Amino acid sequence: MSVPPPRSPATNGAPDPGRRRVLRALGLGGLASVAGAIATIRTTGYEVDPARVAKLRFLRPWQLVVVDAAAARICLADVPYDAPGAPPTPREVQVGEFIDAFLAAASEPIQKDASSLFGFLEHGWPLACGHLHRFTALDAAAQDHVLGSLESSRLGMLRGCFHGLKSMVMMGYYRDPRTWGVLGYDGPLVNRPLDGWTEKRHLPVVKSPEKQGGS
Amino acid sequence: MKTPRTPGVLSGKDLESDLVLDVDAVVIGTGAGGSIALRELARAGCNVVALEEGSDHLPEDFDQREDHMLPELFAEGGGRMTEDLAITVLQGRGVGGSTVHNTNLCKRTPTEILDRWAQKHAVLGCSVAEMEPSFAAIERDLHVTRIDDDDINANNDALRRGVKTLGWRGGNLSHNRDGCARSGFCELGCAYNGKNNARKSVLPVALSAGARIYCDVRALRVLHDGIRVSGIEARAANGRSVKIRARVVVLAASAVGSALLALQSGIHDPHYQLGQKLHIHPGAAIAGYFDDRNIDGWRGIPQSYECTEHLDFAEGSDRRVWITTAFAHPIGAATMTPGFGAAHMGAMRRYRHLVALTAVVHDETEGVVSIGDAGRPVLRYEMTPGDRAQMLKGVRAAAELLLAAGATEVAVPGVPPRIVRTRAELGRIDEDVVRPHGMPLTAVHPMGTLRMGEDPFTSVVKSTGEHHHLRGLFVADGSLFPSSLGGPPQISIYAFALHISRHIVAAARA
Repeated sequence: MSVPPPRSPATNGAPDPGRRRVLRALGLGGLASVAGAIATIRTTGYEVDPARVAKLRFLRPWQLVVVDAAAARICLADVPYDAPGAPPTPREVQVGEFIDAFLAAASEPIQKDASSLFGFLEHGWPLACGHLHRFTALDAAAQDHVLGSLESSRLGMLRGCFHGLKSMVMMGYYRDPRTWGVLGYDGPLVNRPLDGWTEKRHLPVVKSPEKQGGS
Repeated sequence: MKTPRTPGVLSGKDLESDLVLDVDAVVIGTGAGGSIALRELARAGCNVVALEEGSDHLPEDFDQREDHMLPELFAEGGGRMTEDLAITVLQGRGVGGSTVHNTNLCKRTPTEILDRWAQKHAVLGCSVAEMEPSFAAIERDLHVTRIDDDDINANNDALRRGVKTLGWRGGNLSHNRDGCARSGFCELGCAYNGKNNARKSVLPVALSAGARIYCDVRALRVLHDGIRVSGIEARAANGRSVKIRARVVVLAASAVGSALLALQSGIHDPHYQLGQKLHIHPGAAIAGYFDDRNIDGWRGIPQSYECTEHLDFAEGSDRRVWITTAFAHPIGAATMTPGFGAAHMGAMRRYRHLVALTAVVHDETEGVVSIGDAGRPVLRYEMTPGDRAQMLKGVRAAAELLLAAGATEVAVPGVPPRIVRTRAELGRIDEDVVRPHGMPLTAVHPMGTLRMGEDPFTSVVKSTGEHHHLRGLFVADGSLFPSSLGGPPQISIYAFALHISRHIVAAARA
């Protein structure tokens, strides 16, 4: 049995530090503490459009810069953005603003997790990957290296952090109908006439193998 | 208060003052189990109310947008995960609970599972014969029917083709739906009211019989004196205090929510059973690309076919994998598609050619629900080596099915992704993908945590659903189950809630 042992009487029903403890454990030998200290100091010097800052509900301006930078790499297009029919950039579909709104509505523990993650990505993990600059100051190749190292880390918790970041970014990006052209996805049916849609014969593949004589 | 959108369903957002009620019974949660308990209590003439943490959603609210509906319909906005962040745990919230977003799969509790519960877990009255009336009644209420062959969409047809080609065991699933538009948006709520879910098929009967539902109200604590319950303390979404005095409290807020509430209530737990033995049916998604044809898997009934070749229900079995389809809309697909950057977008361009299967483990792992920061549930769950081996077997089997169905490429979303193009390459799917965080896992069936049984050393409630030590406290949801089911749980939850409801009614009338 690999699950934790039953609770002791001392902890029965008592609040559990839960993910907080785990995220603190991202320290990698104190790295998080150092990164946290740096993050506290180094939250200035970020250039953000004041109009965007004014609309923020949860993210601090420097966190928006981190989210923008991560989203730009995570959702990088496979064609040049100035090519005909190219997908929109994450900035165009306001991935950062979406994540801000998403986190503003999230529970406090999730908000804390996210804040820890942004600080760690910006200040802690680049250092662990051998980069002397913060994430947002790295060039694209180095940013990809940092993100790739997080995704493939030997520490499961770090891979989980990458997955969480990626999930928020993907939700922010692919929620926008302008990105659906990449997929060939035709979007919700609810605002379109259902003419014929309810007929079984309109489904893309409808015949069973038996009726087709087997497959 | 504002006029409710649904007569009898009042929102905690609209409470103009603190609320104090005296009733016979209060039900926490309005999903499969809670709706049945509420209905049976109301039908019996009891004065009963239900509290629901989520909102009341009508069909016109379901706009088929993931970004809008996931936060509305799922606990923690769809972001609930196990403590180690390895498994996403999707659970419903809102009037109707998970039956609002589920994909309508209807399977009875397997006979072997019922036998095991009776023999090993000392559950009385749960033999196949004794449960038959409850199963039959629920299937009648929900109008459960088998999916027609012609209703199998391209995604499910690929699974069927794979099963037939390999000569494996499989078949069409049974569903509960009338007036289905086959839009394919089941998991985002049915805009066409085609689902015979608790919201449509059970709760209206309860409301007609006099029950009331307070949605947007979060239960905080079961009130009790250590011997019997006296009600519930809750908080409305607008901050108003809610206190319901009742001689019966029914926990039906899911294996996570009910356990959390029990833990927060200081209920006597001498044998440390509260919140223990959580099962979740962890599942992995496997992608198959059929580059020679458009699948457009988002169209049509999402889950209509299953492969049971690697599934049986004997304890300790080496065949504990259930395989079905798992098509996702863009956000879900993007999240599960491995990698990031240009390569990820390149993979997303094959979306129309994608077939997605899921391998779900009938798990023996026993997790724990506990209380975290701000009263949030913490789910500790780390798959045992045995369950990881089953997961590996399932992922390989799903890949084999996809290849047999004609996939040009199969992708297992590990880091790095395992790409397989021929059966000879199945060995590339190695044990590394099933280590924690080896690939994204999702679970949608939390069970256990407040198990039934006659032995108070190994269970929380009796076979009647009533707590061993606290009179008037009942459990009527998937928390009851002493083990994993190995398949979709909604019919089991509905049926067991109905099965024990006569005891709940008797206690409320006492």
